[in-house]
Amino acid sequence: MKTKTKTKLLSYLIPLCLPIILFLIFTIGTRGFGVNSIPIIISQSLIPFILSFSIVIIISTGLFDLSIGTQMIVIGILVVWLSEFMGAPGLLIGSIGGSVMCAALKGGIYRLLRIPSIILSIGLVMILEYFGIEAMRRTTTMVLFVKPEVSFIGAPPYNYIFTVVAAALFYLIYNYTVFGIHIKLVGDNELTAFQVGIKVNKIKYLAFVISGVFVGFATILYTCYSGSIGFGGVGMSTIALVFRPLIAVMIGISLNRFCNNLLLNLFIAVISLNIIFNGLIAFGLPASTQDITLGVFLLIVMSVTENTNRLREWRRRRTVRKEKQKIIA
Amino acid sequence: MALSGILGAMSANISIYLLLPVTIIVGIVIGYINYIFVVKFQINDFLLTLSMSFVLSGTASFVLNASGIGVPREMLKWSSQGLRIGVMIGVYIICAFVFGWTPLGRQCKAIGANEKAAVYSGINVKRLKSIAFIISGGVAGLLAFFSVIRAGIANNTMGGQLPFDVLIVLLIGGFPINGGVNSNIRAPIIGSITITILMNGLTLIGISEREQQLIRGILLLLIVTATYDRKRTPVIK
Amino acid sequence: MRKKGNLLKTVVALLLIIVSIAGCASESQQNQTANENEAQSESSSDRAGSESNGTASGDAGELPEPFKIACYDLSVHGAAEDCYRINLERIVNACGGELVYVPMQYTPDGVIDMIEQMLALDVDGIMFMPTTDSILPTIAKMCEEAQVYFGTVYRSVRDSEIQGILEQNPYYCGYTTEDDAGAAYDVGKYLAEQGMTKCAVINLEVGDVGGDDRDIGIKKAAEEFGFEIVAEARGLADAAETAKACESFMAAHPDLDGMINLGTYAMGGVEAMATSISNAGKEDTILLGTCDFYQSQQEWFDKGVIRIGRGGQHLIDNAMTLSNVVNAVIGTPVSEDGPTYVTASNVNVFTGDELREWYERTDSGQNIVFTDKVIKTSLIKYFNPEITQDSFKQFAADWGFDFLRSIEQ
Repeated sequence: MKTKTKTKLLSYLIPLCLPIILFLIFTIGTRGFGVNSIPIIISQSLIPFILSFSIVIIISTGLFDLSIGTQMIVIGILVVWLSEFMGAPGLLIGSIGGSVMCAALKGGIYRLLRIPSIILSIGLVMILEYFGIEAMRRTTTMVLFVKPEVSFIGAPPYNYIFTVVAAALFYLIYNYTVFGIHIKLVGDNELTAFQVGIKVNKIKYLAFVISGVFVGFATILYTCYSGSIGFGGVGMSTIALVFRPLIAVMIGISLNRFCNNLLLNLFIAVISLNIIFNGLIAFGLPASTQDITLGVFLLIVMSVTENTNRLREWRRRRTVRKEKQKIIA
Repeated sequence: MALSGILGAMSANISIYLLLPVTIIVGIVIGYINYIFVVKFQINDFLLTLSMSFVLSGTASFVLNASGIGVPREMLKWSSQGLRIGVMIGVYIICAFVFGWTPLGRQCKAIGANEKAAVYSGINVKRLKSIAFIISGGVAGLLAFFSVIRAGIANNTMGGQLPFDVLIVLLIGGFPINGGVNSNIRAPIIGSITITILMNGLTLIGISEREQQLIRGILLLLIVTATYDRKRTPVIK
Repeated sequence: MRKKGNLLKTVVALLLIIVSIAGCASESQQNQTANENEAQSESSSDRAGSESNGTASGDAGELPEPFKIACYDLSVHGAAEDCYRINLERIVNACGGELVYVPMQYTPDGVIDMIEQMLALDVDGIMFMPTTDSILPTIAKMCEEAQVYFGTVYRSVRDSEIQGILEQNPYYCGYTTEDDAGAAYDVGKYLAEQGMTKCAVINLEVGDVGGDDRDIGIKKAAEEFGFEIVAEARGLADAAETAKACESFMAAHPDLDGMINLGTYAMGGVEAMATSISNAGKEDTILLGTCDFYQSQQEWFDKGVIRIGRGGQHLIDNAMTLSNVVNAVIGTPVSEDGPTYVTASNVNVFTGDELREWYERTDSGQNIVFTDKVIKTSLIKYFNPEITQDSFKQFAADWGFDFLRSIEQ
């Protein structure tokens, strides 16, 4: 029992080493970075953290959706407009309701067209961007502002409350519901899942809808974070919004090898990325170096996590070889 | 493409004849690096694409340290429609031959169809993947060459929108997203001609850029819906 | 399945052919429209005829031959699109011409594609923004072969050899630019005079000529006025990312006392900077300045968070280049001796009232800035042969509040 607890504790500690080491590197290496940066890092991590839930639901089902970021912006435009008439409740209901409706529509189109989800998502990005830019053209400034009496819900402690609620919801759905088990089964082997009686199409549709809920949460924080929402133009630039959370999800899933708690791993991944971002700014490095560092960090983390078994095997063989040599000697 | 172009442009300022070999070699090297990460380190290919785009664009900006690197003016004369069309036809013929009539092409399709079955059939999957990455990198280098001699400059915005444009072109041309037996070399030609005629036609009519994007998005979904082979793909992801 | 795919491909191919033919058909329709515009312009110039000077045939209400100018899609200017379109089309329509649009491109390769599209529209003149000097010889050659006049906007030509090549080209009209480096320098200087010692900058991606020029300007100001640039973020995608960057700046450098926006494509980016500063309670300690100002920033100017905005040059830049090209196309070039190079003046805005006034007078809604009188007396030589290169340049140099206040609507 004690060994089990010890092993479990150790398994939690190993992923935690990543942000701790990064934090120490930047704290020692820079002047301005330190404990005072922690609140900023955490508050900047909330939106990608919530978005990562949406991505996990989609990826677990074996699907792929690059249109989440575009969806967030387009729904954000709608809810800022709604908040003019209905205040904070309008923003809340509009974000989650609108996002769920948009996601349901997406799921419906996916079922209707029966094409790969990645292609669908690329097409939807192009279509949604058009509607987003058309909506913004109705304004005089191409930027919509959220009133302070509404945007407070994106500030502490409300943003933390939303994040905790979203995290709890995700944890429950992913780990303790039949739906959570089914999405993993469908993602693992769709044919087998179908043969055991799971309604695969229904699960995929629900995956879109549930992911929409989390996009709705993220939309609330996104619109209130900077107090405004803007849309520059077409050109599929909104796809970039999904990259950081996607990277966090990939890292989080890789960390599952050490600690079987996806929620914690996602949080660690998002925090680590933000520590790097803030640390590089504290270093005063130019933007190009920030990009290189982020890319190299990702490659290192993914290389290590994907090859832990091989590393272990290599170490074992080296040990065996050394012992052999000792015996021969 | 940007990094190949920038390093190529730097070498072109030493000797103009270095541009082509350097861009292609840099492209090949980057392709090989991608192969190592995907095959040897078994990194997810989509994540690799993201990571490498950060690394390469950052490296390109870092190396560049300016708005762009120009090439000697005499190189602009090399850029002619005849040369571009000639090279395109040449590359197409070579790829069509390799893809359609050589064991290499058949083996590539087999890997796309079912990698495990390909391994059990005795196909050296790793070697073929390395060849695929190298060819892809080399072609990107070739594109960088043409882009540099056309614009007279290399900068880090080269090829920015290309990944999604190429994907859309392939899908509209009828290329299956997962590869496999239905892969064909006609798809890029059909897709690129389709898109180019469409976009130019829409511009001539006076359709704005955002409306063009809407039309492209709808067209992409409709064409893929109509041409996607659902019989050969029991599981649509 | 294969038959269905083949059928669809045939349908799509037919559709494309129809679209192309429709495009060609619309050409003739546009010519007809141009003729109608010519008739309308004639009647309007009759009304304005008493105001024009000189002995040009414009005096008699005659218009030049119909012509077409291609321009980049003005929707890149966001909410100001309507105002710019109205004013630029007024300049062209006043001479009996027509303005057509092509999607804007930002990469060197893309700009060449854009020029090819413009030339395919069978135009008489084009105006565009060259992202880099290196593409200009290629474009010059294309325009010379097509016998199309061309002028550039927002950028000067920095390479003297390329300038020489362009000046040899009989179809080159010149450029209109503003001093990007100077704008950044002035913003840095102003804030330094207000007490800024350490600043963070937000800028466009490396490789964007405007952004790089402003980078040069701010570094020069930093050297001369003794402030330090401690952090930078470039190529930020949206307001949220901008807000994050600003928070990170403030967290990493607690003694930061300045932030400068040198350029951003993120809509609401500067507002996000102001919001971050305000949320941190540092409105009095961090001085915020911006190159390029927008209507949406009024509140922050009112609150004194944004101390200086420098910009307002978009409309005049485009108008001057367009006028330059129109003059060449209709046979009355601004100068017979060669291309005309114009530097438009930047405008400084320090308060919310000034910003509001700027937008009431220009850049928003359907404001007419270039009235018939202005066009015919100061911009188009066909109607006023006394326009010289110097007077043309001076018109752009005078751009600002005084000019706008003097316009009779």
